[in-house]
Amino acid sequence: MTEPLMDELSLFKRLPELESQLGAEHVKPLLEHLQLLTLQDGEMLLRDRAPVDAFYLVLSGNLRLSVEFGQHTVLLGEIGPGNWVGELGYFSGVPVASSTVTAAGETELARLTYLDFDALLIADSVAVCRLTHGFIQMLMRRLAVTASNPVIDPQGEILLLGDLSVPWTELAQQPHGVIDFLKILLGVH
Amino acid sequence: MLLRNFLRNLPSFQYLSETDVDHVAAAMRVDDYPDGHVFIYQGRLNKDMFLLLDGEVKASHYGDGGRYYTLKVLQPGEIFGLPSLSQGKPALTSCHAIGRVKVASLPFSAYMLLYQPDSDIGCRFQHVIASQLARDLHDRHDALRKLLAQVYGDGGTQGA
Repeated sequence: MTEPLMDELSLFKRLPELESQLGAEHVKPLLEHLQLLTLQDGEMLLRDRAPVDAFYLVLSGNLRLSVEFGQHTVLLGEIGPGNWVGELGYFSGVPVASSTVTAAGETELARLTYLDFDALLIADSVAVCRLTHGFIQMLMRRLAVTASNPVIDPQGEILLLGDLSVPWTELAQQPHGVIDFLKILLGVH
Repeated sequence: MLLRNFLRNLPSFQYLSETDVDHVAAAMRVDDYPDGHVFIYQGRLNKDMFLLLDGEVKASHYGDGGRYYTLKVLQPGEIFGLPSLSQGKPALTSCHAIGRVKVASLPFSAYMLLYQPDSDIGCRFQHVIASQLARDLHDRHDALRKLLAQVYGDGGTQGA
């Protein structure tokens, strides 16, 4: 299911917003490390608490995340294009998957290994900086969703309420100005 | 205790250079707090980044069902207060001291300076933030697994 490295055109076709998130000049260094893969509906990408060695970016489709205990699961939610999985294993320093990840419908992904992420840090630290800002937004969103206890839906499935997926507008980082400073300080949106 | 020595020994601060750590330490203020001191109130804007140096801090959440429950008990070396501070939104959790604690705090203005996008120190500081958030989420997922274990109490081998 893994294809060769991505070219710029195919990435742009699938995910034009990535260029605005990273900046046009920072997409090419990232592409040198990305591999394409496609999952069919229901196919598993990661198993909760199994070893993980890469980040995965959703290009199209959706991924469903759940936490497991034996045969029982808590459904955390779904993430869409522009969002990643695998970041917890890298930043927590514990390279195991923190949830089971399966495709919800046919889903295209780009794979970036932790080793390649480290290499990218040396080759293009700005790209890594902007990606890391996106990871921080995703982690905060997932923490917010998991702050509430799960509920049981009418079908008996245990799930968390809330949207796990972070929209593009929140993934890109803009330099802070005085106005931003005052807005955040005062809690104005 | 010298704050910069404490910071240098934290795994997440290994991303920072010696000079970075000196800058962070210089911008932080260390204080002792009594048992029960509330650092962050759920529903209010938090304006400091806190680093627990000694003692324990409980993070709790008042849920929609009217229940108040513990999300996590923080240990020395953990940072708290990040989501509300970073997003400029009301905090989703309350954090209070369990017993006497020693905490270093970084004011919002210094946090914003450190987090400047595309600056060298900003990029490295983001790794510190991401590491703590990942640790928090990792712990939260563990708590969800424990909840499943309590609900089913069967080692998870039986169907729901």
